[in-house]
Amino acid sequence: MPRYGLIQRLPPLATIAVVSIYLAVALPIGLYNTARRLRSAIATAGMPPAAMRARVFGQRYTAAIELIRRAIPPDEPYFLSGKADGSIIWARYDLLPRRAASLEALAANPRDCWFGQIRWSVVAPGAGRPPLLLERPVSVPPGCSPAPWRRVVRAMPARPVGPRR
Amino acid sequence: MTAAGVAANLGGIALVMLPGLGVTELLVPLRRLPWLRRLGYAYLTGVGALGGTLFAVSHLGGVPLRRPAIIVAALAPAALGLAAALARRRLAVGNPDAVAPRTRPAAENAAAVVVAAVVAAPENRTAAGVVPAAPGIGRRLRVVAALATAVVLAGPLISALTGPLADWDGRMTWSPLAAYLRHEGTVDAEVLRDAHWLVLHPRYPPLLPLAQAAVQEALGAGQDEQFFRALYVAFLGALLVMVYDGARRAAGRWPAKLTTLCACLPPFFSYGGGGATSAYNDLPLAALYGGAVVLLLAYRPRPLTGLAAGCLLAAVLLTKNEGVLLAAAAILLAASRLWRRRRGSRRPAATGRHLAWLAATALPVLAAAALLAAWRAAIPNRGDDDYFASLGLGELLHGAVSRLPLISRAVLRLSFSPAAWLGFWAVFLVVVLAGRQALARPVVRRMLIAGLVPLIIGCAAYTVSSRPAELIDETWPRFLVQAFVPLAVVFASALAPMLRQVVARRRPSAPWAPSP
Repeated sequence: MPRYGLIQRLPPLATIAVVSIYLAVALPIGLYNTARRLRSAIATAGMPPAAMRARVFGQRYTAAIELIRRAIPPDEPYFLSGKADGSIIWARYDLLPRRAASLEALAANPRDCWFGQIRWSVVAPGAGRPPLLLERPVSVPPGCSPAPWRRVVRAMPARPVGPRR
Repeated sequence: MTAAGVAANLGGIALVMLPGLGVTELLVPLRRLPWLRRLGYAYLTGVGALGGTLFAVSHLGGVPLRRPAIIVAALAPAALGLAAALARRRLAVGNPDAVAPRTRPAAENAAAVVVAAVVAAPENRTAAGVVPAAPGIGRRLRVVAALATAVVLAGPLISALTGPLADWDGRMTWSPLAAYLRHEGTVDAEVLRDAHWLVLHPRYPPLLPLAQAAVQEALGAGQDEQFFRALYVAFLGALLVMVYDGARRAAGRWPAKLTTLCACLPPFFSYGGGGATSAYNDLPLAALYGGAVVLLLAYRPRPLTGLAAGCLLAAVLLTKNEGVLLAAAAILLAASRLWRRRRGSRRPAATGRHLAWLAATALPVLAAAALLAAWRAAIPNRGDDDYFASLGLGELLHGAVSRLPLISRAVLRLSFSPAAWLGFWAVFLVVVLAGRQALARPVVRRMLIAGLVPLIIGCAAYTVSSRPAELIDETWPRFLVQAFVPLAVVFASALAPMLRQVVARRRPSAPWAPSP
């Protein structure tokens, strides 16, 4: 093992000092972040997922999502529109595994066999605001066969639906 | 957070770990590792084994992605590993020298013998070049560092288990894909194949969504139950294990501990968009790529090591689009180790075993590429930028020149953002510049190149993107994550000689020499 003089050891000492300063600053922050999460976890211990979602995303938002989930069966698609601020992404995720179609696609292809048979439209009005559910008039376009979800819907009994316009 | 939810999340980790333990039992270089490092590799190979098996049987065999298939996919590698372990024990009864003992100290010793040989190789030789003795104060400091790392890691785990998923890409891309696959029970979901439906990035590789769907399905998760959250957090643990393994092989025990402690502290890893509490795929990609690079560049070139690295690279390819470029770069870097052994050089020429190592690395990657291409063939693209098609040399050069100020400004701002990184990359630059003599070692140079590859991929995308400013803001920190493991090994290697110099007067033997 070679021995080093003070002059030779200055650059490495300075570098180790930089690493030490980083650790002295970052380590307490890391420990504090963990403590903060732990305190929050203790405060919400035992809370079911639905209540936790309401706490994080807002009661009105999650209530609207619940109503839409009850209205649209998992196999039935819906049109999704709204503000391009992420609220569309948020609503689409919360309505999974239901398939979404865009209104732009309908406008581009109004005679499409399947788009004409989609009964529901969800509007995401903006970040944090509850989505709206609209019911559309549906029919089987001429020359088209009934969509798979229409057959399922017809076979199902009537069910309560969410807020409509 | 309910107790059942916590248990289910931990069950999700176990579902992935189980096949991984089987795989590591089958692959000698991983089996011989100490338990913590073995668990890290088991997690990564487990994701590849579970997700890859489900991908193949669903796409090629039409097997439904339901609980029986998931249980079989998880248990089959575990059973194979168990059978191999039993067979080895049976052999050992007749010949006690045939099998390495399973106790931890003996396994440490076996690994020490292997790695001591690696350290003794000319390309890995350092000034110290010795396997360290157990130090007193050094051991206490290492325990403190390990405890601090564990406490810091607990933060994202607690956060993920308590709050609902609230990150951008997780809700936009990866989790929807997992939900569709689970709902339809197939990787060839109609919602992906039919262009009527609004699916963002339908052709993104589905390995992690498959693992997520498997966890949710196997544990019977309800609508709002997110039993997959710990799955993503565990990748941060695996990434740190890869940092530790690579750093310990390249630089020694104490620099490895210090580097791992430094690595776990940037808040972006834990809480950022792309960190452990999110459902982005960048952290898994970083851990998988880092593990493969460490196996390829810091381990001895043996066929089973190559196979393990190949499995990880196959998972890299099935995790994100840039995975194909990362896998290709890793294989090229591995091949460059053989290039040094060409005829006429001072080192012995590459043998059949070396070529078998390279072939064992490449074969799983080629199989994964074929599977991914076959799956994508039936999925129409909806609005994704085709970077590969637009990456012409002319466009690249034009974009690089015209956008250089924009890219460099944004890259510097994001890399040195105190909120995201707490100055880690500034410290990294200081350490690497001060310890640049470490770059004289080929293994460190290759690690540096492996770390630069994701960053170069990012910059290339920025030069041809139609919205470069937004893309840089969204993706640059995640490219830094992808590059992290090899760059951390460079950091440790640069740090080691400085630590040695600083305490040279105090200690006759340094505990930070490269060691197992």
